[in-house]
Amino acid sequence: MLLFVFLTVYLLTLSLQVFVPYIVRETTIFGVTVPEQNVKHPALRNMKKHYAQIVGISGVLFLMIMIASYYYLAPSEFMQGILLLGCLFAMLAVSMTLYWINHQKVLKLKRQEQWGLNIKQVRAVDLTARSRDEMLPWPFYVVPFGVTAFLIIFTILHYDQIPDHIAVHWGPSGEADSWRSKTYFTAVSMPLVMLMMQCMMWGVVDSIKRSAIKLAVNRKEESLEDQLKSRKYMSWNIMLLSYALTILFTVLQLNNIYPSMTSGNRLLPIFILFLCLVFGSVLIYAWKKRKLRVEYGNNVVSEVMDVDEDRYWKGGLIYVNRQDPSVFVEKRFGVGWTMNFANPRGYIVIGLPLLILLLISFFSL
Amino acid sequence: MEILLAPGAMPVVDEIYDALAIVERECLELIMRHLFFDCSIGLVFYAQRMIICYISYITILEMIVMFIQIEPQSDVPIYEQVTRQIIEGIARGEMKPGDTLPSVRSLAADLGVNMHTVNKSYHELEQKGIITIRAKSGAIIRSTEERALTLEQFKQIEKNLKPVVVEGMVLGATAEQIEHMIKKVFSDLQIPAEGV
Repeated sequence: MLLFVFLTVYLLTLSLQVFVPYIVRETTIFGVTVPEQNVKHPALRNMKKHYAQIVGISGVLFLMIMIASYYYLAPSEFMQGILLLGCLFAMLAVSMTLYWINHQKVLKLKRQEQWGLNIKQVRAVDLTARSRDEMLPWPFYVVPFGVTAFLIIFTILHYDQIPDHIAVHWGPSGEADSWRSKTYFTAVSMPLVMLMMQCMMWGVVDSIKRSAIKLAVNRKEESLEDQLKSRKYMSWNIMLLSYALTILFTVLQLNNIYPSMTSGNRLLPIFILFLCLVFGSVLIYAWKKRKLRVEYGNNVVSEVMDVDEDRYWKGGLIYVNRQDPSVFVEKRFGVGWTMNFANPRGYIVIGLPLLILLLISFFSL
Repeated sequence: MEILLAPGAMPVVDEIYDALAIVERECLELIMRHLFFDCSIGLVFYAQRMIICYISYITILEMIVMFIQIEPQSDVPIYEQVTRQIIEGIARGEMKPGDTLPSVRSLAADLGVNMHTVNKSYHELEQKGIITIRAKSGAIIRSTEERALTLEQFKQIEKNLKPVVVEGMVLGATAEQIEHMIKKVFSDLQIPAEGV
């Protein structure tokens, strides 16, 4: 079972890692802004190809090591877990190292050939884009709060019925493996954790909504569509995640109140479904992004390019821009969004619920 | 920036709402009858209603685009670039009287600039009598009658134009050439003018 869960996670991560250069914007290559006029440079294409090949091959190698060692080498479940995790991180380390090498290479090439040095940098905005933003409105993210409130009240009403030991952790096979003695706080700790997660998702969506709709100046219409759709799909994704979490935690909490309801590993299908949902939605998002990607021709003739923001991207991965009011920006290398680390709002949206979450688990565990 | 109602869209939405109203009433009765257990059904209907509202909301909105672009590295300050581009958009007819400009906060986010910059630009536009800023509904473009040229405004424009014309004359441009330039501006904005 452990192997199955790990294999799914591993394969999904690997395929994302391999295809990342082909999913992200063509004008940011390994985290470096490249003017449209230069994106078809043959060296860049080779770099992408080599990256995908090496990551793919080493990924498959680690996969084989993983399966072999799972069956022949590791005796205990604990050791197996460590081995599987080790393989996953080794694969990630390989892809990160390759990313770093290629990032430096592109930077060097850009400096040597003086890309975009004599091109005017322009930032484009559509004044009507905001009114066409199709992100889901806030009530969609507030509805689960009702479920949580209901669950807390329900738990308190049925407090006497709850067994003296409450499950707080579940193993990969879907069976509870850690319990705590019953108090009012431990009884409602799970709905509280759920509430914090729901808050976080709402905060993230709200911040994405307030963040920039960035256009590519030479492909305004296409990039506008890409932006609006990305925002829409992201809001759907987060809603799905929020609802899936709500359902999962509700089932787990009901299981605490009525332990006879799910004996053995009857919870397993729910965990698997949850995993599939979370990773599936990420994959679908990646696939949609790939389809929306703006394609550039061989020789772009234009006197303007987008504003080069390389200096705000530390290592091409971490965004630190004091001037930018946006809290979330789309990742440059990878699928999804990342935080503007210079904006204090981001720390409130992500950090505060996380802190409370940690406090809850600290005091109830 | 115009909200166009797609023909035939509204009746469909109305029908949906009528059907929903009945469903909702039944659902309310259900909830009243078994207060606790059927709450979940109520929630499902609530969600369904929200989804339908949302879908109809996005399908009946259809807009015209208006792009502006700024150069962060230019000598012209950003707020002035924004002001100029919005005025140009209005002149070109992409923004119509009664249209609302995006909120200061969201335009600042989209441009990646400080909120004060956009605020300054909006206040300049208001001072020029091109938009009205209302506390709740935002910045609205004034109608042609509302922004009828006053004597002071006319004098202001003349004053602004003077150094440019004088510079042209000193460099040897004739009165006809300058007149032609002004007409060219009109034709670039696709506004009919004689003699171009």
